[in-house]
Amino acid sequence: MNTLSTQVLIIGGGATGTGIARDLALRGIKCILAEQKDLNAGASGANHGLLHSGARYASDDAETASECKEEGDILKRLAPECVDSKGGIFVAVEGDNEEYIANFDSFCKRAGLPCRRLDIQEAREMEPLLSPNMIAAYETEDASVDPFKLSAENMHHAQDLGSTLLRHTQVVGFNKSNNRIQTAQLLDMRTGKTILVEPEIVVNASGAWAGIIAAQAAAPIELLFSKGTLMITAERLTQRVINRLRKASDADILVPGGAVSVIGTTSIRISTLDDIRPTVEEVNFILEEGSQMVPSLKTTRYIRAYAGVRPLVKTKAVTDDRSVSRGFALIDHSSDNVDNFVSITGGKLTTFRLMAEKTSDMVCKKLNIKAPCKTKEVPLPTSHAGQWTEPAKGPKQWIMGYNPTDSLLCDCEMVSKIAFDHIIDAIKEQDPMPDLIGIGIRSRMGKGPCQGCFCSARIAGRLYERDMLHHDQGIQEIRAFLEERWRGLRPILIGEQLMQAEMTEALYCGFMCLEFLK
Amino acid sequence: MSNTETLNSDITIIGSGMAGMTAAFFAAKRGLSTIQIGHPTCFSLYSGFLDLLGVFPTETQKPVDDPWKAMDMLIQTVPKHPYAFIPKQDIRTAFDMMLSFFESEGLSYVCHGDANAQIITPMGTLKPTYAIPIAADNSYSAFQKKAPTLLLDVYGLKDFHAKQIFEVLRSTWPDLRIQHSVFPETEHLREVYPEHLANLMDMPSYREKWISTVKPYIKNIDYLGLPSILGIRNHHSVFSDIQAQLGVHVFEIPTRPISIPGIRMRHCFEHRLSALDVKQFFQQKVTQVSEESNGNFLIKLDQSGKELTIQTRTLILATGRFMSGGLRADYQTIHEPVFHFPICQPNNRNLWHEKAFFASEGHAINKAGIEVNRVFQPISESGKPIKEKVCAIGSILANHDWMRMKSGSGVSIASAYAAVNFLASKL
Repeated sequence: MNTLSTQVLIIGGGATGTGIARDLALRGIKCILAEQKDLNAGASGANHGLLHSGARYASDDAETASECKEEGDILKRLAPECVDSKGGIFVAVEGDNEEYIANFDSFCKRAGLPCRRLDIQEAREMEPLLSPNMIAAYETEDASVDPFKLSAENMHHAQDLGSTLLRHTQVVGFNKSNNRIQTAQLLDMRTGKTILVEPEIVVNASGAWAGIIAAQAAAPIELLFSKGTLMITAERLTQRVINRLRKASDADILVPGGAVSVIGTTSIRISTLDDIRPTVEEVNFILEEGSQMVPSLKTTRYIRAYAGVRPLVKTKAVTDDRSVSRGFALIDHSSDNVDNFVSITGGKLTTFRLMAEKTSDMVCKKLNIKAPCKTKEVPLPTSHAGQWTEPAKGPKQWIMGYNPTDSLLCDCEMVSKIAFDHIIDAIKEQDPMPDLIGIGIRSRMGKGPCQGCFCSARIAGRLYERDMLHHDQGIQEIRAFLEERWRGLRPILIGEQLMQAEMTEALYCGFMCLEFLK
Repeated sequence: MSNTETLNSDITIIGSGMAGMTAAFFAAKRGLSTIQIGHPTCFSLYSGFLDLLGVFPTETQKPVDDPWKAMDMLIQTVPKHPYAFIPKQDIRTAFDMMLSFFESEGLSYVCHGDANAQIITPMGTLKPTYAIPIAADNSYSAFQKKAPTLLLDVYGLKDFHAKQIFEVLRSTWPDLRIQHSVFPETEHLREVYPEHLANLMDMPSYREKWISTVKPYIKNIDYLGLPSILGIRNHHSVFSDIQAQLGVHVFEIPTRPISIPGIRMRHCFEHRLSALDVKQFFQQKVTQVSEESNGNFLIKLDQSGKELTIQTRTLILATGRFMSGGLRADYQTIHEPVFHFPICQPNNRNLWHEKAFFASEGHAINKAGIEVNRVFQPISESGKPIKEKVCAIGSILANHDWMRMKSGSGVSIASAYAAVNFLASKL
């Protein structure tokens, strides 16, 4: 059995886990990060990609609101490549609560958030697709953030500083003695091999899975699961982030991201983490709600939907999921008689850095290392392989950098063979088996209208050419990739996207008979 | 100058996929004055294979050997399947007519008795199909014999990788080898496309050059496999020419679209239909269809500003499914936009698709479509024909799944034959 020693074992490759890996690496502490799927496979990859100005929380929770503002400012300054700072508009339509509308700017002022009342005409000029029923609007400092780029670059930086990423690696058990986790037992999900890790500290940053991981160390955490579904439009509908000017509710945020927009979310209490997928009912609901703010949401083409699970830390007398703390919970499991075990869960993407800082502080204290946090000062470097989630990057590279040996493997998003080679090489540095889903997470592959119909077979072909796939592995890869896309496609299949899905089935089933293989 | 024009026909076919083209051929061959409206771009998606029935029951996800036998079981199990409405002998006749049609247009097909053959796809998988273009058929014997074979792919042709096919097949085919090749005069291009290469291959002078670059690879092999780029208009001579000059058996494997074998079919149809005096109006939209008191139909076409009216005695709807716009779906329902025929469909959108894309039972939406009677007249819920002289054919029909059953061409050809026969009897 393979045994690895490390100062810190981090469990979970979302925004928090990768953020902790970078924070600790900057303090000189090397980690192994184990992720059961891949970067941002949980809630970190299934949200709006919204960098909250804080205005959404200003009425109920001034503290969270100003935290958002602070963290947002840090990210805009240190990771500008990940952020699109076009600002936001809060919009109220006929029937929305007038008292809330009237008090909104004073809530913002109290939390220290810039906020400007817009007259209706001005708001409409800024964002022509806003509802004709708009009765009030405020301008705020909301922004979009690319969560995949963020996590990928955090992890790259940590890796450059000596940390390790283990993808597709699940924690299956802890061996404890003397009130400490002595070893963690990890399972490589693809090879079935077991890896033993001897950590000084274990950080549980597994998001919604935090309770399941902690239970393996006999340290209970009680979480509630709130499922949220979102939908991606084929075109970018607005320049700015649009929030409904009302108490936080369902399907009331529209966030632009590159060439598309994202509308969501729903909020449905669920009891297990199995089979998380967007449903037809949720999509219908989002269309109804969202179109009150931006009517064209009802008629526009959607590329796909997706769903994630927010872990909410259980407190007493819970009524509404949005009133359960969306602040984070940092738990020192010494109180559960596991001295070298820490859990961090909850929170929001906007404040991931702060969560990583607080967690890393606790880890350092336990390791007895005095090293200050540097993530407030050190800019996030951009890497060669981490740039391809950005929509403009592929077309720029293709048009500006003529290379006779290159070709476009993804036509929708214009990503070329050379770009994919960068991504494949980066995955391969620490993992012998680059996979299509992994390549998709790190690029625009499968994100355009074709949803993998053309690109998946081409990129599998490229992996074959590079000797990274053998026998029918490519077919299995394509099947897995198309199934993963399908989860998000199924509930939005009408109109043109249904035509596209029919084409994919005609090609992969009608012609190439991929359904024959199990 | 008049801005309107009126044309008359015995039969008008709306649609120009396999069903529409076949119907136009059958109709014109019987001497009916025939008009066809459509946009035949779908042919560039066709593999060139003519499926009859490749899988049944669908849940088995396994190829059937004898499609004719499987058809008996299919008709018993799915009594509303389009095949159930046509005598088997007619299906044979229709299919044979199409095979001789292609043959006479220089596109020869091969059948392996009454059995399906398993043909190599660009994924290295095997597809059961019934009639195989002669240029693809050699891959069948090469694979059956596991003969010494070289698979060539083309630099810059991104929808065909020899290595991918090789890896999938190599454990069963030790004598399979692969080679990258650069096509002459394309060295400076980042990407090359099948149409581009096929057009080059149509030229004898280019072919000479190509043969001299490929010759050095022809060592110790019986078969040479290539992506489907062996010419379009002169395909027959390209194929026989390079076989003769290279001294080996040659076969094509269809590429993922753009697919040249489909484009060849389209050329065959366009050539023959124009010779048979079928008036084709392609890339145009039907703006209105109305029924006159004498039972004829008036079809209005928008011909870039100029209005064209077609008066026709009978009509065939062969507009295909979603991809071609024959069916449309919104958040509530599936509808047919030309005649607004009722569409047999699941009760709500949640039932359209399975949770898994590759679900063994297939997706219910693919069996949605127009329900017809035994002469392919669309019927209402009560089972009565909706219009006396209108038939629907091809993939738009309900109660079959051409993708999972591998029966696309067969259903199109058979229903076209039956519908034309019926409408001819009404004239």
